[in-house]
Amino acid sequence: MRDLLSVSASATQSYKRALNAVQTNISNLNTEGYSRQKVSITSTGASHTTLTRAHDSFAEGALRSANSSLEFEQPGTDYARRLLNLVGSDSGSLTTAFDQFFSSAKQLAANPSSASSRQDFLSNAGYLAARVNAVASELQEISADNNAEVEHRINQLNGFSSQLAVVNEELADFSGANVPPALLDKRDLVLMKMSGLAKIDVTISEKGLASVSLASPNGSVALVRNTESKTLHVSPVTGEKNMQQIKYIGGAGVSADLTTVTGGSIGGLLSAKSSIIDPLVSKLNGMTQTLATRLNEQHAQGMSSLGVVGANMFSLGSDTNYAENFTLALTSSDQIAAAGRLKIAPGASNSENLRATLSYGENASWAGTVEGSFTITFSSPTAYSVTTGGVTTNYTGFDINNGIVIGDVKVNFDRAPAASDTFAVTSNTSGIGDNSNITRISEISEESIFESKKLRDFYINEIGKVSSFNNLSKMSAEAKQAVYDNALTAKDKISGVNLDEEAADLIRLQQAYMATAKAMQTASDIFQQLLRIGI
Amino acid sequence: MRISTNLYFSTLNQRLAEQQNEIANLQTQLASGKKAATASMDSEAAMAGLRMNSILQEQSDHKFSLQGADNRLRQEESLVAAMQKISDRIQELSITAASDTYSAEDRKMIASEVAQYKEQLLSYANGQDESGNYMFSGGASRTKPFVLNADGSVTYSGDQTAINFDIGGGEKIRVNSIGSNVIGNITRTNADASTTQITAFDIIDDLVTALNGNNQTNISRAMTEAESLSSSLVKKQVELGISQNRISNRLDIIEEKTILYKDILSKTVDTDYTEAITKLSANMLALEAAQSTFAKVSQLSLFDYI
Repeated sequence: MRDLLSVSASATQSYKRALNAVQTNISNLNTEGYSRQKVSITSTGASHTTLTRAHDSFAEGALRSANSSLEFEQPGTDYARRLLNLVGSDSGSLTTAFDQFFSSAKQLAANPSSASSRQDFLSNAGYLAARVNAVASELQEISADNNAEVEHRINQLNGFSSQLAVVNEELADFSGANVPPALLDKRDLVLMKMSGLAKIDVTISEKGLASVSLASPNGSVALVRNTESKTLHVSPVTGEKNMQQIKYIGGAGVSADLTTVTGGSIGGLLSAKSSIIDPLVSKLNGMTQTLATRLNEQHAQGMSSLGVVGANMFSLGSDTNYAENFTLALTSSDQIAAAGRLKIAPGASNSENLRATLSYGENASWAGTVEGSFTITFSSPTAYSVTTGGVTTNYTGFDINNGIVIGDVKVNFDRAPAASDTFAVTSNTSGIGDNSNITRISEISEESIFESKKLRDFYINEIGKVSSFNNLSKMSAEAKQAVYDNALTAKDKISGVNLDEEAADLIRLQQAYMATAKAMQTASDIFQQLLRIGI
Repeated sequence: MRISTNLYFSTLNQRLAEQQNEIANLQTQLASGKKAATASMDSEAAMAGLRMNSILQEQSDHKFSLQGADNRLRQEESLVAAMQKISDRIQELSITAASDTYSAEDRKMIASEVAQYKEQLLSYANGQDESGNYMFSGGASRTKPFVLNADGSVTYSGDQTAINFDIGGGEKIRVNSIGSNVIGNITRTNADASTTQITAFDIIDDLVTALNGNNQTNISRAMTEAESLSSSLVKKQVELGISQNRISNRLDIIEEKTILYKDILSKTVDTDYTEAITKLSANMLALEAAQSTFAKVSQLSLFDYI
């Protein structure tokens, strides 16, 4: 009789405990990081219960690693999208400013003496500089945003490290068997959050204490070891705009550089910076430098309507942030050197239809002043003399393919000159209708001087690099999302709470509880019956 | 397989959000008329769009240059044609005057007519375009090319600079003629068989002198010289005609290219309405189905039966 009563009493206790676990599961349905609790009842006699946390450390580890990989991709697509919308949209793209600049140069070439065409060209040159400046400063802003986000995430990581150290401290107080499940849930949740920020290596001690280290190409860096946590901090690189370095404060307060953090959103941010933002900034600077240098060089080979050689069209500033400092140096439309700086006149009695043209840039050290006038006289088809400043020098071995080079100038002939042909070269101060230099300027758009590409193609190619990075990140993110979903399902299969299952458990346990209670009542009835018989 | 209630709902949520995202995308396409409202939505289309816009701009620049060139060449042609008429008339008058039937007095009358042509020729040779640029002074377009000196002689003050327009495809077209070549390259054979270069003005001046002086030899000489001037002016007009022909061919090519590139541009960046609308209705159907099943399925719970 005693048996029936005690067995039933112990069973009701067990079922009550099991029901309690169901209740806990239901009420924690939406708790982040919660693992389902199970009560298993063993032994047939006086029943024995054990509360277990439905958990698989491999599933947990796989999910952490999938989380690091997935979070790594997000910043790449975010920043690529921002860059694309900045440099690739119809309104934002620099190609519009390039087109307008070269288009106004061509219009000026069609009417070089027109004051309105000159003014138009000057305004478009100013617009070009302003657009390049605007894009450059937007890029710097994006770069600064990336830096600020890295710093913010590093601070979050530091926060989690110290939280984990606290959890470890509490875990140390318990002996293995009776660790409260909630504490382990808390530990795993912090580890999951850390894995979202960076790729981490986790080791769990026998007592459940978690140690975390960052996998870095220059060795592993311990962030949390038992109850101790280390911090990372971010410091700017001196002398470089929007560049920063992550430092790790070691044991003795010595800081060491961390070349890079891989995985997680911090790794993703750093990768976006080094793969697309920084290269774009430097390509834009390089492009601006080449463009300004080439335009200035060509402009110097022309003659302005003021009768002086073309001054610098653009200035680049003193540091290497060319795109930000790119400014129009010309202040008035009279300074535009549309004409060639010299003119050539064939002698009146030259052999018919012979044309001579001038080109410049033969002498790299040419000082930018107009050469004195000179006259070329052919004494035979292969011999000629050059008269300048009253001094005549004779030359032989004329070759039409080489033309005649005098200082920085080259005289080209369209056919072989005959004896007694003369050509007079003089300063082109009144050549306001001459469009030869502005035509050359307008043709710079077709020159493949930007890393062997034309200006427009170079620029679009740079957009293309960002675009393919974006496409790759997107594809990669989709693949990693699938891996993450799988890992999540695997973990959830074990640790997640299913309401229907809990409802079924509830009914099952409730019925068992009722049955055992009934058994207790039966025991009592039997006892009463025995008493009655005994009397 | 076990699936937790949380994962079940969050997965359904995710799918619904994806559907809604796709629908919002299509709606933007339809509303903006562009496949990619922002460059990041379809970066390939955006890049192709930039390239096409740039090429179209180039075509319109070339068209501008060509029309400018055509305009200049037409003006030049009309001036050269007017000069040729004068030259023809001078030739005609010199033939008439050379006739033995004319007396010295008759020749003086003809001289007064010839003298008038000098001023007319001068005004044609100093012709200007609509912006006030002299047509025949080379690069010095603000310098009057032919100046009448106090002694009645005319000197050329322009330069020899050729002006070329870039008309695309690496092709350049010369748009100016040098005044001293147009009316200044007449060869005179002197009595001693030597030759000198004279201008149209010299022909007129010398003819007037010859007519007044009743010098038949020099009147006949003027006849030959005026003939050679006329033929050189005719040749010039032919040259100008050929250039204009080149321009009109170029313009046709540019016109065709522009239509082609506009078509490509439209195909690359503009929304294909049929495709977008079809996709939109398919997506809406899928979303509606997902929403209604979600509403029904999510109501199923064992707790309702306890």
